[in-house]
Amino acid sequence: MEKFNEIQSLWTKQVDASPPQDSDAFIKIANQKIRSIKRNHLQTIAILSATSAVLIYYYLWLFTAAISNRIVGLQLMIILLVGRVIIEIISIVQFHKIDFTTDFNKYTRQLIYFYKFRKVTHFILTPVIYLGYILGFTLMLPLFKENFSTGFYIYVVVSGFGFLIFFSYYMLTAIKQDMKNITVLKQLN
Amino acid sequence: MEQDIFFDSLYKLYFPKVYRLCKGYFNGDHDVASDATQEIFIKVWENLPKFRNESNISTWIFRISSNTCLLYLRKQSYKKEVYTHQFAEVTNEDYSQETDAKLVQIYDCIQKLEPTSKLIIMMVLESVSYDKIAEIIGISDKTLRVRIHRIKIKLTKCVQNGKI
Repeated sequence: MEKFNEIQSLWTKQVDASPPQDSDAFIKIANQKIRSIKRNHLQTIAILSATSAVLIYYYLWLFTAAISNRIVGLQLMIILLVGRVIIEIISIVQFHKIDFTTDFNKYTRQLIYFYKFRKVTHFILTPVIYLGYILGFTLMLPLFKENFSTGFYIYVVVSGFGFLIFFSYYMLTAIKQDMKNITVLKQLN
Repeated sequence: MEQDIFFDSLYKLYFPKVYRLCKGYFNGDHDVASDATQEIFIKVWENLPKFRNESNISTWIFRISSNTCLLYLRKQSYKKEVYTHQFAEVTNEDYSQETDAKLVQIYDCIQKLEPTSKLIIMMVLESVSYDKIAEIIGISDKTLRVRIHRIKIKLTKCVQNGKI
């Protein structure tokens, strides 16, 4: 096999690349998948929007409540959570706006732009939100101690910080994956 | 109905080409290549009504294919080994073991190329015309020709000696 033509001839002889089903069957599968993808996409946006709406409503209710000066920490946690949810919605919308029918180089640039936005989110916004959330939670602890039984207070502290540790692990995994993607994409560009 | 008929012709004509492109991109992994090919044709079917003949239909399909394979790299951990055990099920009965071994070597050599070169050479192997490849990748015709010349030399040398 010395010449390129021979490589090409061998390449095109791989035969079993024929479709596993006819186009009618494929169209049925495709329509099901398209419906499922759209439904999942809408569900994600709906869940995130509903979460934001509930948090905003709760915040407004707290803000007007007489105890509002004692729950600054909770208000801070709500604002930061809403902020993070909004960033996530923007990220999902941005990703779905990427044109996959454009040429390979433009597509790669669009993906790099998208991951740069993710990088800013991961390295600037998320740490600020995370620290702010911890601060908010810590500010709430005296109020919890005052109003809850010792057992329940310990439960709140342990589960609260437990959640923060779990969330950090989840975020670190996502950041690691996004950074790996940027490295691959930069090699292409 | 008209769209179904048009899709049927595209599906029959391009499925083998797209599948081989994906398989080459994913080191001969039949399962990943099949999943990626299915995803590509779902995108083709979904977006066919939006296709406006601004580019050639084959250019459009290969663009979707190249970009979807790139997204799959994002999903998959990048495996370097060639899936040799999967050749037996995908080759013709007339194939000898020697042919299988050569195919494995071709896949192995393609993996040694950098990702864009990999895509370019696989389209050359699929006999996609140079002007269409230039449109799919988004580089000038002249640059592409120089690049193809270099990749062909590299690939041929690698298949002969096992090194790039």
